[in-house]
Amino acid sequence: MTTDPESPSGSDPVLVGSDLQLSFGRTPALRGAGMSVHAGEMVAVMGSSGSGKSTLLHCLAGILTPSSGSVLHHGREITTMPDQQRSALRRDEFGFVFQFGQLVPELTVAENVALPLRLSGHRHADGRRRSALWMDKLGVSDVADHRPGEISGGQGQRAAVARALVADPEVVFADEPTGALDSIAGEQVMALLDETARESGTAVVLVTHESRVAAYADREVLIRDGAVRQQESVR
Amino acid sequence: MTRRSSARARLGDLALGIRLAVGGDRTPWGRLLLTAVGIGLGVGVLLLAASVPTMKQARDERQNARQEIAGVLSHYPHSSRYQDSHDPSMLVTRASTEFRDQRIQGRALEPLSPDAPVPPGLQRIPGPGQMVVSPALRELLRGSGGELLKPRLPDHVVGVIDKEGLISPNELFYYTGTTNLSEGGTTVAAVYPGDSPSTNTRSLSGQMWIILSFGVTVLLVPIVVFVVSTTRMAEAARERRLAALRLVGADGKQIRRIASGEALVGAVFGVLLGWAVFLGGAQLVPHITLLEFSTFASDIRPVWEFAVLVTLGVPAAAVITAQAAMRRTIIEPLGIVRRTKPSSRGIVWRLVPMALGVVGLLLVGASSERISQLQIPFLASIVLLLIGVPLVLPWAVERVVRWSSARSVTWQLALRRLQLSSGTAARSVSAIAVVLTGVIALQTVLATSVATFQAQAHDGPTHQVATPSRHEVKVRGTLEHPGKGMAELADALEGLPSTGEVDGTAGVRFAVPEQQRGPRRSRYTGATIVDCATLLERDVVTRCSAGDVFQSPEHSRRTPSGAIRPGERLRATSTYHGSAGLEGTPGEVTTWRAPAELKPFEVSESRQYRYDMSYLLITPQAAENIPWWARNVELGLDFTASASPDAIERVRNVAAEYLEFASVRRISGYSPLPSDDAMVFRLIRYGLLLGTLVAFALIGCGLFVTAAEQIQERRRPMAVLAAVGARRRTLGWSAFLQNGVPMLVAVAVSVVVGLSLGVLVVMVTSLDNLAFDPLGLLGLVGIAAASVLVVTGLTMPALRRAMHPEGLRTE
Ligand SMILES: Nc1ncnc2c1ncn2[C@@H]1O[C@H](COP(=O)(O)OP(=O)(O)O)[C@@H](O)[C@H]1O
Ligand SMILES: [Mg+2]
Repeated sequence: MTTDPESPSGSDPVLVGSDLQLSFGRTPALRGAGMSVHAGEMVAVMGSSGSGKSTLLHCLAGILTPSSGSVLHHGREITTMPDQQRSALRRDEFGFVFQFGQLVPELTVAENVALPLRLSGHRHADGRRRSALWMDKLGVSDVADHRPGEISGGQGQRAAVARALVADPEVVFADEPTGALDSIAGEQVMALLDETARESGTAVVLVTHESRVAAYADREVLIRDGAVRQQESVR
Repeated sequence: MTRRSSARARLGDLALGIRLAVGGDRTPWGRLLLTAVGIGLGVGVLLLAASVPTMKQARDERQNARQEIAGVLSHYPHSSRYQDSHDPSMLVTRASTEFRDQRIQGRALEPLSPDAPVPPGLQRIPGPGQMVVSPALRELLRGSGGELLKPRLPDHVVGVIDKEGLISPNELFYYTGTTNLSEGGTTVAAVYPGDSPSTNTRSLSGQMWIILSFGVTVLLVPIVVFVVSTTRMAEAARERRLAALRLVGADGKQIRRIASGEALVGAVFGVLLGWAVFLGGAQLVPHITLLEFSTFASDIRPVWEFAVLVTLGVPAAAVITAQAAMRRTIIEPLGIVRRTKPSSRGIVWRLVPMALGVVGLLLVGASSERISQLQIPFLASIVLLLIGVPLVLPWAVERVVRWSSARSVTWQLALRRLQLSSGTAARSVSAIAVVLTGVIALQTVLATSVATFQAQAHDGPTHQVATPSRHEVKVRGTLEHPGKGMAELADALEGLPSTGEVDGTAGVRFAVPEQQRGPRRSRYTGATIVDCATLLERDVVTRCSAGDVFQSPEHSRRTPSGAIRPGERLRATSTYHGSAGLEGTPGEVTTWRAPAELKPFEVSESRQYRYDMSYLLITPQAAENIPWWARNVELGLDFTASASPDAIERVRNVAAEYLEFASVRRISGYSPLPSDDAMVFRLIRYGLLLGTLVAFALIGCGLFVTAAEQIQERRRPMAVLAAVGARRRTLGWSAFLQNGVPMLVAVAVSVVVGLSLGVLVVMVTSLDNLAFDPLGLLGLVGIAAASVLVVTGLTMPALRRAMHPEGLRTE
């Protein structure tokens, strides 16, 4: 089992997960998986359906607590942090893009994008200005006042990317961000995510099973049956 | 980065919650509206209930102010108490009559000095032949019946009584001016300079108090339960929404604040609507006369502490409930809080409030204090018992669901669904269960009270001289002048176009001197003045000579005074003054001395003429020194077939000419004018019915919204079921069972707890004659069943839409 937290690039990692174990009832989802994320890089986590990709990502992001193993954020253990601190971490340092359904249907696109700022107590005007900027970057300004139900899937995912990046996070977690999109829309979302994340120096953990999507990443982590099988640099 | 202070950040979270609750076209307007309407109606009712004390106080104050001048029957002009004091400034007498089943009250005033007090609501005291009337009486006089009423109220109307002189807007009241009271009437009261007001606040009887406070509690608890359960409607959707927020980093506390903000919206809307309902209702109230009860809009002011409590308490309750709900289900960022298996519900702690309630009631019952002194523990125990019901329900629903086995797909679908969410199902019917429990208990108490009333009415001894019951109409009163005798009255009545034979006797009420019979209190007994001819003709006695007095041997057993001894001196009183003790005008003989021989006679229960139920019969020759004013005249008469319904008003007009305090009533279908107790009783009955219907309508709406939301949420599985060939009927039945099973459990629990609570209250308040109201119970159960049917019926279109294959493509 190779759970090498060392990075190919050599710089200090932002996040290091090692030897993670987690079962849902009797179903083991993670069996000693581990990986690290370095500042500004894009890592693709690949593997077949049910192999434990999402679970690994949730553990790294502090959404799920593994039954054993550790996740270090700049050397600080997050698996034992109280919920409030982990929430603050998610609010201020992480961003999320999921397959679908992560936008709050009651809020407009603009309000959804501004949500992380609003939750961490930024001034309203400040939040509006910054979310406008990001919506502009991701090309969803014209649907700013629409609700998630009224826009296309691609627009929704781009809005989600804008929301993930608006608070200027260190890491964005993207779990099959193109999974529900057709290939053209998917391509567009990936190109924008890649561009904007690199521009702002944000690391991206990208879960996908499509090699076309994984092609955007700097390196790949292959996971099977809850353990990391292979890590390789593609660039 | 500009960050706000933490207090402002907290407000920001709250604002976000509010924003989530009113989210444009995704806003669940239906739910919000229902919540607001439900809470609004509840708050409106609470505010109205909170106005009852103020209203009662305002009415009492006006009544006392009026009493001070026009109601004092305790000050008699010739009473020895006032013999040496100043001269009275005014003389007053009461007058009242009935017109088409309404009571008209009046006062005749004779000012004796310029400083005579002007009654409240009047500019000045009406002069002789003048009359000041209440607005309602003016309308009555102007209306179609005015002609018939005019002979009794012949004076010229010179003004209208203002609000401060009236107790309620529909009151029929008048003041007339007169000059003949100083001649010495029988019932004249005097107003002396510097009289202190004799305040006389009528209070409800203990039994009424129990029923009233019980009724109010029973209707208030469901309102609270409703407020609580509306904040927990559409939980699944909210949990999903909040999970999305958790994901982007909202922590537990923030989530709770956001949820509070959401809950606050409905509550605040509701409170605003409630005030609107209340203020609107208060404006409407004067136009409504419910069972002879009406009130002025200005009297409807909530007790302000309570108004503040409701206004702030309802939103607070909503927030607290939301917080409590959050505490139980931890919203995880991934939303779906997968519970491995819903943990079994413990029954023990759920029974604690009920047990406390029972113990509380038993303690109240065991206490030697009167119930009205133990209001708080009494009502608190009832509230505990009622609150216990929604706590027990989830457990009961779960039990029933677990016991039942799924035979068909229909059952299987319903049961699985209920197994997963028995809590939600139980919650949706918890308000119904509370209403049912309370109303069933109240029905029992009401039925018992009615039975007790009736029992009391049956075994009260009749002291009063009763007229032959064969007659249609009974005329009673005191002769007004010595010159106008009973014979003249009988002739005048017979002279009316539609009357047949008139038949009458006179009765006397004697006070048996107190020094002879126990300390302080006088005892009373009745006697009938009847001539020998009548007595012989009716077989009451076999021998009779003028001047005879007969006493039944039963007298000693059947009356409070006991038998009269030969030669005993008795004081004649007027029936209408109760124990006030009228002393008559000076120089007038008020005592009657029993003769040396009291002849016996047998009272036969089977006799047709009930007047011989007086245990003392006096021939007119022996009654000569009984003053004319102490003779209560009783006449019976019949109408001819052609008599109109207003014929009785003509009889009243004639009676008013001859009698003071004339009362003319039909014997058949005789319905006494409602006493305060009877009125409150009926008000409660109707209020309860109305309240129950409103509560059911509200709860039905809640059920409907929950069911519709559930279908909406489960569109996809429904569509899948339809796709694999489930018939609409199967799904329809399953939806019906999903509503029906919890309702059935709720009804069962309510019937058991409600009947027990009713019996407990009856025991505690030591009412006799425990009785139940099976018809009322059936009615309630019927309404509950109907509400399930209606709700299921209403959700059918939504179900049909959900089953459409379109459902497969959504999401
Ligand atoms: N909440 C859950 N409850 C039970 N089992 C789960 C849960 N989430 C994931 N699993 C199981 O854990 C394993 C890994 O799942 P997941 O991480 O979602 O895989 P992937 O994202 O690679 O498709 C699967 O076998 C899945 O069935
Ligand atoms: Mg996955």
